[in-house]
Amino acid sequence: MSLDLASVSKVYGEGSRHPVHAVRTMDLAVGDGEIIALLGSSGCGKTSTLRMIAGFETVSSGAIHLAGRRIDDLPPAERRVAMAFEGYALYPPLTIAENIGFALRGDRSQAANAPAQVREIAELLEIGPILSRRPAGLSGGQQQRASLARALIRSADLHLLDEPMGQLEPQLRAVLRGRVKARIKERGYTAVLVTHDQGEANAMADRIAVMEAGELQQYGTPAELRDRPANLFVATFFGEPPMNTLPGIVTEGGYDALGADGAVALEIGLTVPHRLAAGRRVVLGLRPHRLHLGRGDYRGVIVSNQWLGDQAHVAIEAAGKMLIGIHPERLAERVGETVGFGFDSGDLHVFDAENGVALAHGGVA
Amino acid sequence: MRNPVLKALRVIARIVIVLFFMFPIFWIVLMSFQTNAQILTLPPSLIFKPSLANYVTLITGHLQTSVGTLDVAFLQNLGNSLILSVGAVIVSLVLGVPAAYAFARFRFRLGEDMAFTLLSLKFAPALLVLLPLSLEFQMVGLDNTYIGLIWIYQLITLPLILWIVRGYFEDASPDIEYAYRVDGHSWLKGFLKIAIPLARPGIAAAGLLAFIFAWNNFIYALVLASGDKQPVTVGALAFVTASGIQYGQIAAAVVLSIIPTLAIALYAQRWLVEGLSLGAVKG
Amino acid sequence: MNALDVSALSVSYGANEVLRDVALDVRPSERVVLFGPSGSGKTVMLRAIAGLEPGAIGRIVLAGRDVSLEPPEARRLGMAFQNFALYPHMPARENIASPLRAQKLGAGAIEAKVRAVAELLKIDHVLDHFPRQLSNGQKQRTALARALVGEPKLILFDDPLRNVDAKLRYEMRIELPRLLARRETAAIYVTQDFREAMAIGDRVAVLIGGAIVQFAPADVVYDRPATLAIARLFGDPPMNLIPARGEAHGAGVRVHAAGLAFGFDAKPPEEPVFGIRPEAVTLSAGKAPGRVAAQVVAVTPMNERYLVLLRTDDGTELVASHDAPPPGADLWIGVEPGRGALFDAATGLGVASSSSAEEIAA
Repeated sequence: MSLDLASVSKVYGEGSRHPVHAVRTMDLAVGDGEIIALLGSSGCGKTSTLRMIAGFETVSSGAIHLAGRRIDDLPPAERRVAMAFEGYALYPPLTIAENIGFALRGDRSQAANAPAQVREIAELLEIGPILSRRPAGLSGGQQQRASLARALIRSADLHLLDEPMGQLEPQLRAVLRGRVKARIKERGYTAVLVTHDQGEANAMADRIAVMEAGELQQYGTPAELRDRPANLFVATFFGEPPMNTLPGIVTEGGYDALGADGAVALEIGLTVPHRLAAGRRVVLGLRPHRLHLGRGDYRGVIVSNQWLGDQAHVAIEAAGKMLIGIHPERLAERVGETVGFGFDSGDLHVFDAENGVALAHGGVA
Repeated sequence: MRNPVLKALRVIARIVIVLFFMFPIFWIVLMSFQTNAQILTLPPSLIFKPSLANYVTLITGHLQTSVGTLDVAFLQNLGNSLILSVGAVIVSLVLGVPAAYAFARFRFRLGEDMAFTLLSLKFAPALLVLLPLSLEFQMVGLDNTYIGLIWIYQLITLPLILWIVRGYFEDASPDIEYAYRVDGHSWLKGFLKIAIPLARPGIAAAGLLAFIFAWNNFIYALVLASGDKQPVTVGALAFVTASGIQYGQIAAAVVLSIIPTLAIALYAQRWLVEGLSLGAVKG
Repeated sequence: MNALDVSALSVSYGANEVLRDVALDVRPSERVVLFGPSGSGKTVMLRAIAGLEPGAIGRIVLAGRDVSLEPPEARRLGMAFQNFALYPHMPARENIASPLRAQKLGAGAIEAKVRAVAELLKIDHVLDHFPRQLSNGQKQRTALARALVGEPKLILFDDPLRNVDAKLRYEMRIELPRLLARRETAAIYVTQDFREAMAIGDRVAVLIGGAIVQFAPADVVYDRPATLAIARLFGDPPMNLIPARGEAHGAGVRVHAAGLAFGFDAKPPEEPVFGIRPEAVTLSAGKAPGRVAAQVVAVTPMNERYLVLLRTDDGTELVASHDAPPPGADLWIGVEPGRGALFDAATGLGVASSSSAEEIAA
């Protein structure tokens, strides 16, 4: 069901000398059947937001609607929300099967064939063999999968998943992410995922809300965050390896990237949006995946060339600045050799040097 | 909280709780400025003419009663309390901190049993220990000596310091000490330059608590100390005189004997709150 | 003379044998990565080399000097910890100077060396700050400076980039090998991240269950994992491992997996398992020889790649990894020639690798 946060704020210690604004006037709309991720580092406000939606935290101001009902003044049990907790929150005296089945107790329509459903979700999450065991003595990954199973077995208006896969065994991660995503989509659940791991957000979410310092920085599809980051924070936070950035200056015919000594390192010929006056200080950004090596108008010296199995990570130095590029094949050039590089003009990002707001992506404002 | 009534109720509740806990101290302070007659008036009154007579008595050491003048050794008692408590805490720190480190860092045979045995001494009723102890002390000549008393005070202070400081050592990442050793420093330097400074808030807390426990001890001192070695807790008994209980002087004695503990607590506070370990490791 | 020779190293905690008869050599200026799952004994091994495991048995020779019985302070090596392990009550300058103080150098020499290494690591402007005043990146660099300043022949790194943000991680992945090469310092580097292992290590030692199961150049471990366990761990997403049927075919074996057939130069394994890296699984919209039908279960993007979870008609699940999204929901999948690997689940060992494989159309 659709979820809507309207100007939601959370202030801790309201009226005290040092109130903490954990979440500032946040607007967020999640469509029916959509999976979104709240992404940010610790202290960015994502957990407070989640706890307000779940009802563990009061809303300081603003309103939360779920499936058209206003829920922010309802107790948690009446919100029709299922949740997977970061700390697993499994009941120690119950077996894993009982823990998972527990979620169905309150629901008569689902309780009837509970054992079959438990077995099915357990198989999906590869915890079939440990169904009769108790949480104590299981690994973090196993407990996390059990906790996830307990949240996913229940049909609810909204599924809240708090760091649901952080402890997952790496060898299972790719397959389980795919299975969980397929299951959520197949059942038509609406899900809000909270994570600090952009890999998890990227893998699971239709849209990602990037938060920092209590504020929503950008809310969009992974492709939008990648191709049209709203500001320098999102640009360098989202994407691995992080975006290359260079200080620059607007010229008549494009941009000049400045080197370590302030001299012009690269002259980039590109149509500049007309509202950007020549001489304006900017920050230029280029994603490592969009930097072509071995061809292009510019030259740099290779300082590092690492083959990582299915891609090469190459660092080149141009005018005292280091740029990282990803090459899909092994690059023959060795460290110390000069290599040509370039990029499509559409892949250049331009940000305001003062406040980091995006000014242009490629030639487009 | 959006409800102002709830907010007001909360404030009132807080005041009531503070009053409840602070009342005995407040009343003792009042009593210390009253004469015995004023104290024994029923119903008690908050309005009286304050007098410093009780304090004068304690400091001059002459107690005027209806049956004559009695000598009280309150100041000497106070000095005894200081010597005994400070001595006990120092000896316990010197012995207890290295022991706590050993229990925290090394696994050795019977280690847990030893640590627990030391703690269990605190569970034994003091009187059980005291009778044989006083006989033994008389035999070896330790009764009514500072050394003997300080030794016995260890029963109170050492387990306390051992267990509190051990927890602090266990909480500190051993990696920091490992790093120091790999740098080329000996084990002992690592202990002195890294482990102890990092556990300082814990050592301060344990030392303070041990001091208070030692200061407030009554039963060991009552049995094993006589006359000139008595601490204030025992010395206060002198005010239970043949002509009645001198409540005013007792109250004044209590107020004076609280002052050292209070002063130390206030001084140690900065050590207690100083979170030295913050920022040491990735947080 | 090697920077390090470890032989017959064992460590036990009570009845629990954490390291079992391990051998390892590190050549001068070489970077060896110790890779393994959590609990495999990586950190214990590092500590044993540093002299911090009192129960360690075995021979440890550092630059020709047998230090097996020496305490940690006499081994003269550098170490960087996962949690940085800075001394919180000392400013950065004193943290870095600590190994020099132990060497009892004069104040002038200490200051000069600290300054030089701090400049190299770009932390010379925060030398007077205490650890709690430093950013994560500066803490990391301070810890690194402390490990480097005494100019040891060998530095031990215990997963130092685990707790740092992506920006710093990529920076250090490039900077660290350069720094070590410039100072001709050998290193042992512990990590659980296979990309970090490949980026930093000249050779990778895979430690599983207290034993080294493969010790080879990084790309060899990636292309030809010696055991099933390594195939499961080294790679993200890891190699697809598909239970297979095998029969003798000429001098080799023909293996059937996921509806496809592959030839290998090997004896038929008892329980064959076919392995294929996700990037070697090819996807196409149309039918072609050597391909089998599969449905897309889910697409989970990873960085700028698309991970596709697929299910073939016989129920086999596998993951493909490509630069572009899959061309539809119903696909035909195949494998790149020469990229398959064959394992025997009965022994857990690799039987034949890509170099000898010869794919045959089903």
